[in-house]
Amino acid sequence: MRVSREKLEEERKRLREERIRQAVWEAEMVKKLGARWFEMRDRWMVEAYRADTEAMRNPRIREAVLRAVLASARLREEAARRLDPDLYLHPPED
Amino acid sequence: MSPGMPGGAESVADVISFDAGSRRVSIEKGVLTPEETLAARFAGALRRAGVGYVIVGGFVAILFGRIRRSEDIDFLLQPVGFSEFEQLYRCLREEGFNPAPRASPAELYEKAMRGASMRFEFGGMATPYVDARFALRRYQRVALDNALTLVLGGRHELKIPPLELQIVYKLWLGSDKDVGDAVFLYTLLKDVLDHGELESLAREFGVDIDRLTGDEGR
Repeated sequence: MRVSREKLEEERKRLREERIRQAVWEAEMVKKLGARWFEMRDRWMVEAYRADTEAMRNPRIREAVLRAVLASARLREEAARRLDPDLYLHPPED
Repeated sequence: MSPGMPGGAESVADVISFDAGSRRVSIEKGVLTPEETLAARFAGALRRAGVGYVIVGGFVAILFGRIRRSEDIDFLLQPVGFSEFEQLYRCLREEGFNPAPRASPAELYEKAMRGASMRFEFGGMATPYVDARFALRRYQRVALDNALTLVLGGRHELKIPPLELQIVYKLWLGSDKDVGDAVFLYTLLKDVLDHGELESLAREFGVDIDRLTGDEGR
């Protein structure tokens, strides 16, 4: 199936806007709910961590996660260097 | 560049408060998440080794309440000599952190001095892990030298960068995730940010701060 460039750009724009709306909503919820927000958020974080710990007992999953971690670290490093090699590697001094 | 500082002692939510005088931000909470515990343990080892640090990256937004997980926690470390680094290596191993892939202090130090990151695993977990690097670049040093103290649950202290710098840096990185973090921090903390500092940093980094309010291109 071929997807046109315009369609792809449109979808990326929609996702970007959705992420921004989500970020604004989260900040408003922190302000509005305060302690209750942190309790709910933290409960979710703890459950997610437990699920990860459980999954990581499987050596095949652990191996796959490790491979993904290394690949993503390498990509991030390359992206940062591409973004601005001077600032990232040799930032100008004042 | 003058480092930013939240202005005045203020609260932005019933659990988050700022004290400009002591450069402290407090978040009241009963228990730490596993990621926060990991960060506090790593920070504790750094303190024992006498090595300055600041936590940067997406984890800063998570500390302030973002709902998202991060596979790593980014630490910038004060550059130190090799003997201090060996001491740090010992403190980290005693705390349960191991370099991954396995490396000797000399190998890690050589890497760190090139500005590369060192990955530390805790308790045999592949994620979340700590990604630490020496603060060798200008903005990394600014973040380190002007860090705020974030106090979690009244007793766990973590160093975080000036919030204006963190927001502008995230905008500069520019991925959807990074811009989302910048927008989150700005929306949550806009009443206590130094807006002059934010604008000045935005000019230095060449980013459009209208993106923080969704006004770009309008």
